[in-house]
Amino acid sequence: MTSNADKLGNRLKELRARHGFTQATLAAEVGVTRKTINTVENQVFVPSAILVLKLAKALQCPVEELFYLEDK
Amino acid sequence: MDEMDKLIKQRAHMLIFAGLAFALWQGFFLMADLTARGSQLNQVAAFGTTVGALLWAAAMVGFIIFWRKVAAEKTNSSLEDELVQRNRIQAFANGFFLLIAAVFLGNGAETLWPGNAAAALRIAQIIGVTVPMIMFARLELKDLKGA
Repeated sequence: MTSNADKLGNRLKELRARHGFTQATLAAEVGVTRKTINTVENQVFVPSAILVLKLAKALQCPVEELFYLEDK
Repeated sequence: MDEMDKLIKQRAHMLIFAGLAFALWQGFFLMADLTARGSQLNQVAAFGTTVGALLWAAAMVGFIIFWRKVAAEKTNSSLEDELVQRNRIQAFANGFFLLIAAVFLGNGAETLWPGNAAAALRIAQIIGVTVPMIMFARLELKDLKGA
């Protein structure tokens, strides 16, 4: 069971760099603004399932590789 | 800073300008209602109301120009992405709670300075319009600063 205290970690920055995306180009690819990508990377903003799936598709990896629940 | 960042910044600045213009316009309107007709303060209030109304009108024209530009560049959906929606919800929620706080304060103040319903409604109007606009702009600029 998840709680509000659970934190969503991600490897977005690492995978984005591996695929040669900048924040701006990835943002354009998935139809959001650069600041949205930045706030997701910095764990300020928890993205919706739709955005998560779009990001995984753009970065050609399974969702689990991109996002994970951080250990408390 | 890319084109989208500039649009976000521009929208936030326009919202702050519009919010302050509205507060100025309605604030002076309130002052005009509360001061004696023909008095010096009332004349200042009338002048301030006119300036505020003109600034508000200018802000509305600015918004029309801005949204036309956004539509032409086809950046509308990105400018309204889920982070923007979250910020908007948060801004409205903050505005709502501030409005409720103002109503409670107004209730308390009413016992000291009895009854001017029109003034109370105008204050509620100012808070209800201005706070969400400025709060939303602040959240957008804060996210942009971190980006």
